[in-house]
Amino acid sequence: MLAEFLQYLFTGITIGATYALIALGFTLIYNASHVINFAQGEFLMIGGMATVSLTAMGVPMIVAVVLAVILAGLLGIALQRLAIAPAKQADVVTLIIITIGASIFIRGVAQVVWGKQYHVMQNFSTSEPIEVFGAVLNSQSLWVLGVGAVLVVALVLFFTKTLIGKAILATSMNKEAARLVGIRTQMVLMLAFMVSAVLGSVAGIVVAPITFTSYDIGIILGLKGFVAAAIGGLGSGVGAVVGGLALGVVEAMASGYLSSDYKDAVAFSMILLVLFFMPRGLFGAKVVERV
Amino acid sequence: MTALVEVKELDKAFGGVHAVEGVSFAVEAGQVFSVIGPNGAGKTTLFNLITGLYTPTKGEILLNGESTAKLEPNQLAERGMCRTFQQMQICMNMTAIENVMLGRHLHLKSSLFTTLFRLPSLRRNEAAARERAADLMKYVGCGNYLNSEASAMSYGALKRLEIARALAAEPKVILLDEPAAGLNAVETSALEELIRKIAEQGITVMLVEHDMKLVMNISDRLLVLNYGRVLTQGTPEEIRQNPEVIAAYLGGSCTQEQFGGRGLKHADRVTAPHAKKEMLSIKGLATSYGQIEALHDIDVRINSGEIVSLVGANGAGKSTLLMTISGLQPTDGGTITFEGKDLAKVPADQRVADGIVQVPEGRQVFKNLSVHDNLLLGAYSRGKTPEVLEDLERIYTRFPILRQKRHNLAGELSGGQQQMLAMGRALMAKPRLLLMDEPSMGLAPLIIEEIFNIVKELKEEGITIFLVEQNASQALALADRGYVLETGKVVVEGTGRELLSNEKVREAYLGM
Amino acid sequence: MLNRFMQSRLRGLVILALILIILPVFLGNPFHYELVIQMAIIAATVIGLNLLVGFAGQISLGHAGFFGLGAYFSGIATGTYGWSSLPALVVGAIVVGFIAWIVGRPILRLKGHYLSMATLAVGFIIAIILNNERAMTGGPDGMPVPAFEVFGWELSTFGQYSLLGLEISGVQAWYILASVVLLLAVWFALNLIESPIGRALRSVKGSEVAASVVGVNTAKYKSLVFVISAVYASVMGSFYAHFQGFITPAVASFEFSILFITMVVLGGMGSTFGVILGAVVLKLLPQVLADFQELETVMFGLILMLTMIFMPKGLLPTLTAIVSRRMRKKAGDGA
Repeated sequence: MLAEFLQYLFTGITIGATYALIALGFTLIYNASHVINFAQGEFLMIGGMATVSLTAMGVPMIVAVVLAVILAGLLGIALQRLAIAPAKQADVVTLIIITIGASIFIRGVAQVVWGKQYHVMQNFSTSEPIEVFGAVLNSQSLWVLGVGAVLVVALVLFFTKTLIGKAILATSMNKEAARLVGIRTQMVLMLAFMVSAVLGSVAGIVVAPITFTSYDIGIILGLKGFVAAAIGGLGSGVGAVVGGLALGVVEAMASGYLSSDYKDAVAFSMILLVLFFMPRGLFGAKVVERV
Repeated sequence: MTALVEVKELDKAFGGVHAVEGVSFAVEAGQVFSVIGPNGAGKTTLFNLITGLYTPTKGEILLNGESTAKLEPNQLAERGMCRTFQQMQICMNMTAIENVMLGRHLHLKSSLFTTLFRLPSLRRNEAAARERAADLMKYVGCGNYLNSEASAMSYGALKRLEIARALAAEPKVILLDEPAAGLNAVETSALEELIRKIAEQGITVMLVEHDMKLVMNISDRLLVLNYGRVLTQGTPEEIRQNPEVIAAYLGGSCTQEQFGGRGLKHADRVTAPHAKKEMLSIKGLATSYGQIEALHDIDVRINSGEIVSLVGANGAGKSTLLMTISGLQPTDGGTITFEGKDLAKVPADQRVADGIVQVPEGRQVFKNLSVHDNLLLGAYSRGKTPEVLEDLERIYTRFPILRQKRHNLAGELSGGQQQMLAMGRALMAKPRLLLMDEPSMGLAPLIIEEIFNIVKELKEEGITIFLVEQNASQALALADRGYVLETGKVVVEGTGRELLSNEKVREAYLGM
Repeated sequence: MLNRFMQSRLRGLVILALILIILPVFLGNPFHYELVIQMAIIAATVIGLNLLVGFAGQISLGHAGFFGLGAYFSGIATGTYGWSSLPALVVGAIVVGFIAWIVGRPILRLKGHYLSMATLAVGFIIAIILNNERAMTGGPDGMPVPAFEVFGWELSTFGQYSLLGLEISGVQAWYILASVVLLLAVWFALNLIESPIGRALRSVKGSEVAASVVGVNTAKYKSLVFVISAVYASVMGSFYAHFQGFITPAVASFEFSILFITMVVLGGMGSTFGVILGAVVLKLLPQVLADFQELETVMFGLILMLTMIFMPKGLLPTLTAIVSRRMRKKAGDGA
């Protein structure tokens, strides 16, 4: 009984940590530019696929990871500069379609470069599972949780201790005032996209040994990240982490105790339920509309 | 006879700040009832409460004797209440006439079936509604836009279109929120005529307006708000005589005879110490928002060491001018030169680094960051050098309240404290030209006095100041020179003293 | 008389009808017909979606859910329970409209991205149910759907029919049906938009505040347009199911929802004829790009991105703006 529960809990927290990282990426970009980036999942795909293919070419793992993250970061910047910035006056829906176009494009390139098949990545450390109270824990789960925790702490430090981090926050709160104190908001936007892409790619790399990776893995992971961000409340960092973990755990429990066919339905029912009672998510900002 | 609109002990708080507090009044049917008061006094909030867009924190509103507490805005419209907005709410995805026809909504019932098959009854009703809307457009004076898209109309015409839309609903009472803002003299007198015609039809008019001449001419009764509270109410004649009102409007405790700022006699004015060296020069400047021209052929000169004040009514383009100088609002024509350097190609962040720093209207502090972080971000263009930390110390000494609240979120501060923070933040950038936009807006007299004292100190420290104020007499009393802006044009310029005694300025501000 | 008619509000409808009449001249084989029939059905669906997105300004990223529900309702009612096609289509539309009404009331209170999220979730849940209720839907493998049949008269793509003495094939008969359905969909949409109801809908997008203070019950109208667009999707889903003769849960998938909304935005939000163009272009594009083989996806994404960046208002509104600017310039030169 307990073992079973723990098993689902571990699985849920592991996948939830991944969702949390994706959701944080959404949150960052949403805060800086009010764009929901449907290409967010592609950063995960790029991270995983680039690492796999680089190691296959004989590049040492650690170098491969760094190169993959840099690649994703550059892609994030390119996305902001080439696709989002030129369309600054576009409607919300139009921006959504632009990011969808970008995600199709990136996926298409990945398909050409890496093919359509699934790729397997080795666990970072031992492939021996760890046993805790009868539950079996994939050692990679610890990597996911550890790296996730490190990234969250790093983000917190970045936003509370550095001037540039505060500049990003300031821009998201009041863009006009940010420009008046001399913040180059265009730079801030690029930076937000870059950090978001880096987060996504790291998540993609650490989770790849568990989920495998392929050119189209980004679609569903990106959507789950969006769900997690919406549960937590768009724009809230705490919300993104809580939303991600909650989503992961609920999914794992649903597929364990109910039916794995309906685990996604449970996830999507959960977001409907949350929004029904809290139209701005769990931690979303309450805004007074002025007329 | 009961009043048409009755407001009892109305309260509205945003967060901890009371925007409207203990307001009571009654509007009789057929009156023209105006609500006046300085910016930030809570006038628009009051209108939003009456029309059901905001829910009151406390108190009650009665429309024709019925409590409106549970009613949505559309249900209030069904009961004969309609309004226009300060920030115009026009459906830009429709043609002009369709906007007015939208106003007929309550009088045009048609079933989905009739609509889908466009049965003759619908066609007849539509034709009649269109004709009615066209008549209304002519009536309010935008008859030459009958076939236009709403997005192709001028600012003044859109304002009148909004009135036509409200009239199309055949209201018993119509609320107009600053209908004259941004209109020129000719348009304003046409508006006066229009409001009079509406009142003659027997429609009750409630008006929020800054143009005192207009208000005094057409109102039966006035309500004066200040800091969310009722200062006084009465007939135009009574209000005109009331010294408190004059004080609230002109700032400080001055009366008509004693036209100086509070605590500032004219002799105290510090005269420019240096030789008049030109610092900022604006020539032939024009800018616009979409189709709407906001500034037109502006010439302004600011010498180093001066305080220059810019006064004018709401919507005259004062903030736009500051935003253009800061580089946030693009120019359509003309030049801005700062210390001999053309600013045309200089981005906003470089202008801050060059020493042009703005304290924006409404403070605009970063609400979810601490006071400390707000100040540090003020020095963003300078980085985090030891010198910056020294300056931070200096700011804390100048504004002790900020030191006390350094770990609080900026959004938790009161209005006056936020204004101090906004000024402190700007000073952290080491400004040489400080642009200040309405620093006194919505603040209590004591705090206003403090702020103006600081402005004076800053000048003595050698900072050049360009001050935009509604609080005209205080701003002009402080200023070496001033400009009066009206609908995007400079109409008068001169020394502070000249402007203070200028009939035109007094008229624009007091309707006297 | 003719002149006045061409000035009137139905000019676009007449031009569309003429195009539909002339088009068969260029259609060489049954495959061409099939493509055009699919285009017509999907165009009619996005005309309904456009009422919601383009005119009332409410985003839906889950509209294929309603399309799929309509398709499966018809498939199951006619295939499994032997209903006649027309009653199945009508009852399906009523049921889907009712579901949309129930679902719409809470989620239409949401704004912006939260509404996108909620509609996306609704679409996903429908697709998951269709995928997993194997006993009824056949699961991911799909299910066959009988030919369209009215009063015992069957319309099959393989049949041969005679119309006014002309021998026509099954696809040609379907072409006529799809054309009529498309024209009706356009006519209803145009009638709806230019009416008090239509103005109320558009005012919800233009300014919800303005709408409410002149007496528009915005919540009611959002619900109404959500239901109408769901009914459009359901009816077209039914036709689609009968025409294809076989459906899989892909018709309700997220990808399909995205395709629909992309057609609306690409063609031009708030332009009924624009979204038809959007449907045509997005249906044709893969055919054209097929020559690029493995680069197909890359090209598709690139074209989508570039069009939206450089024509954010959509194809038709941008094109008409260019044409009218040209004409005005020409008129100016002449004067």
